[in-house]
Amino acid sequence: MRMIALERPDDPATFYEHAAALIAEGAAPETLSWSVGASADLFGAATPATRQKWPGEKLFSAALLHRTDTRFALVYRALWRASGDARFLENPADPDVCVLRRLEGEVRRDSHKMRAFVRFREIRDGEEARFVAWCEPSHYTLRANVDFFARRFANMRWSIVTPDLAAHYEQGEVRFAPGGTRGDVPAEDARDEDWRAYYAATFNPARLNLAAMQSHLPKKFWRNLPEAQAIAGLVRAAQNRAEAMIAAPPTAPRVERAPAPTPDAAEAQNLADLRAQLAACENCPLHRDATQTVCGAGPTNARLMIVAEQPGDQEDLAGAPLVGPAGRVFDEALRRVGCARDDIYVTNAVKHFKFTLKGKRRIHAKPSAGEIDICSWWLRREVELVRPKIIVAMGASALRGLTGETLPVRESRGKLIELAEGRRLLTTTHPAYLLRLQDEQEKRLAWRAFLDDLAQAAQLAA
Amino acid sequence: MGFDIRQKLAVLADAAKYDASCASSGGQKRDSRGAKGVGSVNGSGICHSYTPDGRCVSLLKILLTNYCMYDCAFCVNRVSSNVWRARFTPAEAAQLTLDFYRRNFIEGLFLSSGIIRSPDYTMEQLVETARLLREDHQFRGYIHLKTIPDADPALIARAGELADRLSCNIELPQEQSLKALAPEKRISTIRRSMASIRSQIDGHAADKSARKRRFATGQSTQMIVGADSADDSAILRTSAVLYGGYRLRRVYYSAFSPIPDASAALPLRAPPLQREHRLYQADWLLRFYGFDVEELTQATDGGMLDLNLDPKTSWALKNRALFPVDVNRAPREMLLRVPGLGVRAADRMIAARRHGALRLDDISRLASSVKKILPFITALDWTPGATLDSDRLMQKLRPEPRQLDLFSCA
Repeated sequence: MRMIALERPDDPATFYEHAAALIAEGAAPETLSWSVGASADLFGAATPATRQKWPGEKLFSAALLHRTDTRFALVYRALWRASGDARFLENPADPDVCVLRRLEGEVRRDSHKMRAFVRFREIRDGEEARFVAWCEPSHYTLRANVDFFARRFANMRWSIVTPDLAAHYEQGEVRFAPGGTRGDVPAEDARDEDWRAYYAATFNPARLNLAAMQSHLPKKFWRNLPEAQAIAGLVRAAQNRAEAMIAAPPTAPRVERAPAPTPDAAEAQNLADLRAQLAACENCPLHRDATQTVCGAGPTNARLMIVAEQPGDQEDLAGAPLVGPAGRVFDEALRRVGCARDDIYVTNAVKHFKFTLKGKRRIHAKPSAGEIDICSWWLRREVELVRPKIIVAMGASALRGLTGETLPVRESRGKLIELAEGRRLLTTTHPAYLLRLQDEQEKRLAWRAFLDDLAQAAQLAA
Repeated sequence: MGFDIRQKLAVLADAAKYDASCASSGGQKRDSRGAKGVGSVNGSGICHSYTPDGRCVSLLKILLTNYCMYDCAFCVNRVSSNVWRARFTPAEAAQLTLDFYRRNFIEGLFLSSGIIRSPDYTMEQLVETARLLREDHQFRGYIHLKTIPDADPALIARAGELADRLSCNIELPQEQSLKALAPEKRISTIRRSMASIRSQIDGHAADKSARKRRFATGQSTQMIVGADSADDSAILRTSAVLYGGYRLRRVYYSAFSPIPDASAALPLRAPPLQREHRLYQADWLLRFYGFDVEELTQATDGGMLDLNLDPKTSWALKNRALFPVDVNRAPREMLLRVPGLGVRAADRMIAARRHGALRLDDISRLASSVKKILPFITALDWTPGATLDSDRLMQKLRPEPRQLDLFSCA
């Protein structure tokens, strides 16, 4: 049996160098015995080969920091196997991979607990403050975590002392020194009492659950955590505190509030009032899931009014009509026919976004005739207040909202309908329809017709 | 730090603890090298301690003040509650954060506040605390700010530039309960605030230019469970709508807990912790396992999740025709539906089966608990036989009574 002695217990780089040389030599795993700390002349490997990248190195490097004596033999066997065919490393069910994964997991958890549970105490070190911590990791994790602390506390002077190794940091430089003892670090810090006060106050005695606590914070960590001194007392008092809260006579709310007056929509004499009333609309269930009512937007005296179907995802978020993808098509069309959006009143037949959930996305759902009819009350009030010369219904929902009838857009498109007070209604397609069309030829024709309709409306409004 | 600060800290931490969120994950990566301050964020959060309720302590979670003009029945800080009141100045809160951070007690600050003077004034105070930390002290750690929905959108936008996460609590799952129990709050204002934050987060994420300003990377919310009559189906539907509408990172469920000096408007009883736990499990199924909310509500019993059985198992027992699942052929979506099989184990099975057909031995190395999975799968050397059709399967799957790990987060 050949003895391979490594100088340090936490030095994957040197291990890899020796492993590379041994594999090159053809040293079979079962002929080797690995150890740490023996003197250098027992050293059994040939000249270290140049540093190479190993497949699975992340897994190996973590496993090599485990405290088990078998770690070097386990990783060497995996490297030996991988030098023939490395594919087994990608098989999570491979027994060697499983064992290494377990070691890696334990080291990762140990690293995580170090980052979590190191507690610095402030001491005077010459002129300046130094923050020192005593920590007892289960594995050789300090060296691998120094970088984490150096990034986080780049401008502090700090030391972390463990039984195996100490790290001292100052101005970007880390110096390693032999391990120490608990006595090297002060037992208390000036802020410990505040921290315990916080810990006690943030605990909810009505939810006492010691098992859950201990699964995350096993007792072995308690002796190095200042807050752990408070645990016993908190647990003892918890039951009584919770019962007292339940038994205490409740306090009455300070003021009995009358419900807010329901706005009477008929009273709205201008668009601002109408908008305020609309914001509270609960006439149909659509308000339950939508963000907000989306009222029309535009000048009170607009001669041209455009009515689309309903707000979409973007309109619902922004609270404004036609600002999403279909809105961009609409804006482009206006630009083409030389019409300014600022001169137009733009609104929807239905004022709340109706959608179905697909995973985490909200997918537009067509409003029902009933929903359009309920909401048409608001649309009529908008028409009455704006008094446009011409109204354009974009799509079947808008047409229904304005006429109360379900008419096919294909047949009504481009035709003028006379309304009361000399108002006229022109029907066209909804811009979202243009976005949905797949066939290029069809799309061109529909776009042309849409532009013609808008141009006609603009002309009639002028 | 004087006795006075410690007393205030105790009052203001006690007042903040009913907010369940403690997450410090998902921030933009950065560290203190090249700055004069301290702090780093490296993606995944760290739980620095655990209190005896099993909950993690990741952030210094405090209110700037627990004086409040509002009278929300479920809240310990409501105007009509007879509790001690205190107030930190922004400078005191910032200094406390730094003192704790330097000792590695915390990942950063979670700051909220009672409403004093006006929503705008309150929001200004929160923003000022974050500004002191970020600009004067060059603090690079994590900051979570509560946003006051009625505050000026410009203040909320400023909060987004300073914080890693913003949150605004929906408080209750149903609009009518909010009206009854939180008379000053309006669901529409809360939703509009979330919509505006989502639009800003999306806008910053889409802007790839190097000159873009830093902005929070996520928002979350909290719903109180058991203070009103909403059932689990209603709660989960509300969550699904919130995830869909506002891309929330998390919806937190907070079992309504007896508070010192409770309101007569509310049930005084032990918090429904097990119910909260089941809701978290169902929430996970929505977010990571491809379940639609309607599938989960169908798995409830008259709107309530089974307290004795996890929601995935409940769903599977009502959809037995879809099982057993062949672990050697099933697509990922279907593996994720196997009770007891998590995302990581499912992905490992998919990787492992490329190297050869899986046997029970392999599965025991890949999954944490095989016993629960067995009735629902087939492998090269395993079929569940008639167990899947057995009336006693539900009894067999019910766990031995034990205290559950309610939740952990970071």
